[in-house]
Amino acid sequence: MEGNMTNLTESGSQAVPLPGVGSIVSRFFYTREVPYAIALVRMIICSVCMIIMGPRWFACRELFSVDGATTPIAIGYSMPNWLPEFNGTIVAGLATLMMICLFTSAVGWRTRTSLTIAAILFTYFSCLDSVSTMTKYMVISTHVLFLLSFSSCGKIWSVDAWLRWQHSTDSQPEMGETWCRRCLQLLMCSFYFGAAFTKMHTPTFFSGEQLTYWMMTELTIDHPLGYVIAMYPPLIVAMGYITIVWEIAFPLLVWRDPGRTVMLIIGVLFHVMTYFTLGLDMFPPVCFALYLTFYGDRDYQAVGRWFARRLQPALRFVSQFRMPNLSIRYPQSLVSRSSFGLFAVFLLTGTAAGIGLEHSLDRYGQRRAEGRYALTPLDHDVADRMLAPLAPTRESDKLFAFDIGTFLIGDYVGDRCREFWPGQTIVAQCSFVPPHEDMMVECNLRDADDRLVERFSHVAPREVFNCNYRFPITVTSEPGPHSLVIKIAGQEVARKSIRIHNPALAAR
Amino acid sequence: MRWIKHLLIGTYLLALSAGIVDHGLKFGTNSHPLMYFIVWDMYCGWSAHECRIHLVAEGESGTHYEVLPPPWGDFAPFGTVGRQHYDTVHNSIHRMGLNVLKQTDHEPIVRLKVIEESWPKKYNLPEHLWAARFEEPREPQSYFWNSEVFDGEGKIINSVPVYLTQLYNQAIGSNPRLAADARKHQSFIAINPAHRRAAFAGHADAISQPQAGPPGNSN
Repeated sequence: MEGNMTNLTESGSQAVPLPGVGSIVSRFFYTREVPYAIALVRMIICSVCMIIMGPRWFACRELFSVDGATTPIAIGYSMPNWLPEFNGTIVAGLATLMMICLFTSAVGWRTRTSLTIAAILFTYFSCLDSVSTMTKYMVISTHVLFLLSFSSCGKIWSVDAWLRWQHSTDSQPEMGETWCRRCLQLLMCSFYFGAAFTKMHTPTFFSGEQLTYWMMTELTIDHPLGYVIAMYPPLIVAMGYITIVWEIAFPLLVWRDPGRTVMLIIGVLFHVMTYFTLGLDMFPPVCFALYLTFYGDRDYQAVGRWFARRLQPALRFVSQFRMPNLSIRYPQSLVSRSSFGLFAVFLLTGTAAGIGLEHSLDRYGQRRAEGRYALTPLDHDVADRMLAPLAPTRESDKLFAFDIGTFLIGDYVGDRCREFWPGQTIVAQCSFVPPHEDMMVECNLRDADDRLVERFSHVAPREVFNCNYRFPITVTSEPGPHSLVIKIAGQEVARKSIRIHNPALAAR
Repeated sequence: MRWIKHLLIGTYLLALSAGIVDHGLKFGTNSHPLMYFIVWDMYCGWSAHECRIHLVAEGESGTHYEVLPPPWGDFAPFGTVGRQHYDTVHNSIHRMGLNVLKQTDHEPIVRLKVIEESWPKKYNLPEHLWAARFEEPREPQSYFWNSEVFDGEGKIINSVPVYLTQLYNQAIGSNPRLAADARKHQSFIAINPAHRRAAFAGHADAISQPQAGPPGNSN
């Protein structure tokens, strides 16, 4: 079949045979290689999943059981929940089983079984808590666990591989097909491509507003750099454009060097910045793990040789010490049977211990010496404030920022400054907090005695989030301290001090 | 075995492609929870307001109690903020509240009230950055908005738009001609209290709302 599909193309006068589509696809998905990449992915992703699920294990009764408050993903789609829900004890057992299987997957003990159990339970628990567990990096993790459970990722760097090595005469690492690595690569490509679509559908992404508000949220982990960068909207707009270009280019350029190196380096920088500016802690390691799939076994072998050369002196030093040979070669059948038996015992005892531990933690304080918890009465003042009718929005709360400079870039003030000379134009920009009504917004230039020197008024319709006012500084402008004042509905909401320099007038 | 691998790879790539196409064409992206697994729609729903959700219970005596955060402590899934604050569309807040009622001692509860507390995000700026950007003192004010009321068993009694939609409706409603036009319709009684939201929130789609499914915690 592959022979039949072989095409011919003209290259000058010479006909060059092209491989058929079937053979290209076959080579892409079924080339055999040492599965270094997916073994690393297995170890990293399972460890990250354990870190994610660790704190949730302590609250599993509350998050995932009928003895708590599950928030199934189906509710968000106005559909009935189709997932079975269990009581707290069973959930504690399942959550413990998931944690154990994530661990055994990471170390590669009964890898396929471990990964299958981990993938099912991880997806199940994610779907049961859409509010505080299900996120996009959880979705990526479920894809990875699902694909790995079918793969040969346990053939190297695993307990399984070590046990096999015990009775193998071949010192070469085992090989597997590349299809899992390819699917993970394509997952990453589709993920970035889809993310680019989202941004295209979100006009406020390109104006920088979405990212600015995200950088200023307190809903993610502490990210002080985000607040600083939120002060520079032109930078955010530029970063937004770079991001979308990179996301679209990624699936096209990541397959071969030098595009691969460039795309992955930008990716690493991008995700590191999402940690520092947006407070995303688990997203970066999940993506970094998948970046490893863009390297084949030869790349890893080259890296291994490089390290071996660098570490040679240290290895020579270590080899001076005679180490006892600790490897004991057991019969194959005994190793296989005991491994499965031990694995089953490990799962059972671990799960039982987990159930016991969770019970003793007494999440709801039902067995406390002082009795069950009681609801705390609200302070009267607090209750009155909370339950009062909605207070009218203060005019000052409709203003997001007030910046002054001399030019705009990306629709934002490019140079924040307070000193101005003749020939320059003061650009005063006020940004609003959406949603807001149609507003009359006024900008006053006032002198040192607070006398009105100049005034501009604009209507700011509800769809407008920025308003700009320009005050040209001429040779007749009075020098000295001034102030720019923003008024909404006639009420002063912001004021900024500036200084106008005019040497010609000052000399008189 | 090879055909099983073909099938697996083919199905998987088809699913990824379907997600991309659906998302690109905005077709059926919220049709089924499984779409969440193949549609990569991060970055939705970040507004200019920071919002916290309080659940207040009213006892038979008229006393109000704090239900969330629960007395045994908050579960903070992505930082330091409690779980209930991520339920931005209030789909599950009453379930969390009912669980707290089930696990605690209290007088009979007649009402559960969902209170949104919001403030502009500019007040989240640390002091030194505020001082660099504003000459005015930092005087944050929270706005409280009672968006839902449930009875003691979790049945919905009243539901109005969430705070952001309410702000948008107010902005629209400040146009007298539009407000007069909006009154020119046939009156009806919404039998299901949940449908009252639809009667009040005709403009909800027009503004940036969190999409269906899990909230915009796209991390």
